[in-house]
Amino acid sequence: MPRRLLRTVILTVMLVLALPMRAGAEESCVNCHPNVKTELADSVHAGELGCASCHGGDPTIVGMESHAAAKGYVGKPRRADIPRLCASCHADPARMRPFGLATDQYAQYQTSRHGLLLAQGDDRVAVCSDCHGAHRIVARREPTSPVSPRNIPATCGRCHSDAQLMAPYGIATDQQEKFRDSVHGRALFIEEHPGAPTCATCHGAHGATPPQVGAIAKVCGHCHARIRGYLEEGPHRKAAEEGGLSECVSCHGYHDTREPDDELFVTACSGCHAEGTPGAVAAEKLRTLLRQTRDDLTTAREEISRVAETSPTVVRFRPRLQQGWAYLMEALPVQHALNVNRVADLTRGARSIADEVRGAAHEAEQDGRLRYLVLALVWVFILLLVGVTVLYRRERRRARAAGEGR
Amino acid sequence: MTVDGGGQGSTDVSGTSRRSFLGRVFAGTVIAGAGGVIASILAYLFPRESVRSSLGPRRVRVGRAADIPAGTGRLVLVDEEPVWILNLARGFVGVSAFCTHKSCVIKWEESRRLFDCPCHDGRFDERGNVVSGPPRRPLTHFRVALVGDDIYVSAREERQV
Amino acid sequence: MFQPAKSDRSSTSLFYPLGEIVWGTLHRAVPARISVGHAFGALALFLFALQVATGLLLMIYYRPSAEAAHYSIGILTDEVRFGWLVRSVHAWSSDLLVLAAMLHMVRIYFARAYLAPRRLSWATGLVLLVVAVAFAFSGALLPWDQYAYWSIDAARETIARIPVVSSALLNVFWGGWDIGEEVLLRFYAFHVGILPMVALACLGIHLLTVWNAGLQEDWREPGDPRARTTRPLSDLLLDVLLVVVIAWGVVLSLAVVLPPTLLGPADPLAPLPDVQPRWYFLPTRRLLRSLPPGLAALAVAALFVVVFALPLVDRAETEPAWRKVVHRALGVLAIAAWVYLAARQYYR
Repeated sequence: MPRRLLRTVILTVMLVLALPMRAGAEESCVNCHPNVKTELADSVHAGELGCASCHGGDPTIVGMESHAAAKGYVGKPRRADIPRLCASCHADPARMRPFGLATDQYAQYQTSRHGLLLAQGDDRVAVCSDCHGAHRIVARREPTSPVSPRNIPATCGRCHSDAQLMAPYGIATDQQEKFRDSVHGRALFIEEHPGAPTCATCHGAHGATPPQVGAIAKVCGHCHARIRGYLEEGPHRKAAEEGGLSECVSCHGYHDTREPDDELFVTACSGCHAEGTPGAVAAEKLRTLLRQTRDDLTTAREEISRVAETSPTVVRFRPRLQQGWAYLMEALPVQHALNVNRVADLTRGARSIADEVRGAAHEAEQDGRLRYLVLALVWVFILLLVGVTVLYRRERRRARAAGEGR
Repeated sequence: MTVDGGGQGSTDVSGTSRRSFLGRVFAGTVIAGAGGVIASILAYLFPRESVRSSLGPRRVRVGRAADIPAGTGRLVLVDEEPVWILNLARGFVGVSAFCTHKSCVIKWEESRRLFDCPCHDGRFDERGNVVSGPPRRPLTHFRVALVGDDIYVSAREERQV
Repeated sequence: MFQPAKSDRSSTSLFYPLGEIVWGTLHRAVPARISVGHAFGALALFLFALQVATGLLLMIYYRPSAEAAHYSIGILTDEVRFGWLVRSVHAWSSDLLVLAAMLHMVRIYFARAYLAPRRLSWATGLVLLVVAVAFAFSGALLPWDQYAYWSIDAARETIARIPVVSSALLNVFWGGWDIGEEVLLRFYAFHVGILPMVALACLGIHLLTVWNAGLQEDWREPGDPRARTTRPLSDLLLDVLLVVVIAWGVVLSLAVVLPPTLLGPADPLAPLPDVQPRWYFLPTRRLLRSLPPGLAALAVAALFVVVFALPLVDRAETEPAWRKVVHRALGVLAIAAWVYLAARQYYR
């Protein structure tokens, strides 16, 4: 027993001594593992950690003796041990303070689905190195980092798109694919919007877990705060509390969330509201209001473009029409309160502007028809003048002939 | 070769009278046509009130200084574009009320000193810079000047100085 | 030759001697029978007058700057009463003026009306044709819309192919190799200042020569038995009035039915692909783009010199039958070549 204790003490001391050791030329590991050394040199840990910091052993010894268990050699850490190993530094506020890093990752991880399963002895779940890499760990802001926002879907997908790996858990494997074509995926990959969500935005990163019913609106509302506010004003809040409605996702889905259109009223509402019931009637009203408004605004916009081909200054009505679109855009979040009158107030504003603009464009156009009328009158006059001239000329000729003949 | 000038030698009385009548009709028609052309030219030259033909610096009066107490803002229209005029400690400033995300009309919240977009929660500070939300570009600026007691806005947008 | 009929107006008249001059002019003897082809000259003169009148009106609203030109045309066509019509008439009559001048020249060629004493008339007429084309070309740029910008860019590319002189041409007329406000201002100066002065001077000489020589009756054989009959100029002027009034109706109708387009403002970063030149430049563009550029430029220049010197080459009062055939054949060949090249460029 004392021998074992002694061994633990020695190991601990060695580990502690090894940790701050500069990854200097004295490390013998590079002799046999040059590739690993190169990877470590790119890592954020370069200059902070050496091989022995994680793998144990004695890098000052050249040869296999350095791998002796007596020297505290660990080898490749067991998957189950990795979170604790990383946490030995990363959960220590004193050590992390100079780097300005948070220290709650390990605590969060233990609450995650990954962490909970690991605690139950399932070591197939994601551990730190699965997402962050092992030797070559680079900062999140680097585009090559596996946890850089645009790489996160692929990083999660490495396991979650693997049907064989996911089979025992009964989890779908199409999330990555669905996400790629969703509004959020397009915002992330195509528009490259800095605020675009990744997997971690909704599920959490270290504390990754599927949001529960009741939390969905909060998760979505983190970005769509205004919509969440309106949703909670309306009758759907009660339905959600009673568990009949999975809040946002009941209508908009998840992972493959699309740009909502008017058809959503037909496909989504009918799932709960039978035809003729007050809910279905309100849905139809909202759908009609929004569709008509969009149609009116679109027509007015096309009208301006069409008339602008002959009367280019009608484009000056575009800012005015834009205010109409703004009303419609404002009505879109408001509809989540499911108050038809409030939406109608906004769409009325939009449609009156659309009418006004269309009238103005039309007025500029009517000028065109007048032109043809005036042209016709001008031709009548021209023919009159031609007739008079011909008569006058003939008369002159006759008079001259009479004069000459005399 | 000599040409007998026009109808000088004509003695036919009826011919002369008819010709002078036709001549008058002819002259009258020509004068009427010329008159129409001249009238059109005059119409062309008379300026129209509604024509904003100037591209040069142009100002639009948007109200009196007293209308906008310190710290508050007012939404005005400058050539159909909604513009917020704010009375801040550093003077009056003008920023476009069109959100740079989807061109919704933003609202000024005095208490939070923020512009808030009702559509997608875009937020801008009083200088028009994005604070949060989906917009990525700052708001367009308008020059504002106090002339006497009247607030004038330049009709041309300009970038932040 | 002619002697104005004496009027009974005395030298004490208020309008003396204006009244005498007008009277004399109106009663000047002109050939009673002239071909319909004579109308082209009168037509060109009328269209030129129309160009001057509408051009002056346009100057009142047009702003020659890269920033304001397009906007001012927009205001003109939308807001100003009849503004669209003035612009449209100006554009259409410029095209028709070039056409009328060309047809006029064709008639003169076949009528051999360039012989002495009308040689100066031929030379100035040729300059006037070039000036008319230059007017139309420079005017097309002034709206500063996408079409204007990219057609001028295509022309610049054509000119840039000409060896030796291309750099000088572009520096003088374009204000450099890039297209910007410089070229707009230069074209404007040419369009409203330099070209009108050249045109008025040439037109003065042109008309004076014609006036001095009198109207050519027809292309008639020497010893034609038909008697020469005359009538007073005032009678001819009535015919001219008919031509002018109908031409005015045609111009108006074209202007109303097919107004010139105004594309978006010129955008140097949004190229229009492969813009065709105006119709009168189609053959030149074809030549310059298909032949080796040096050769093509040389050919155009040589052709010009030959046409210009035509009254010096062909000077015999009467010509033998074989020369008559050659003269006509050359004319027909030239027109056919022109049309062929234009079609090749248009349906390229």
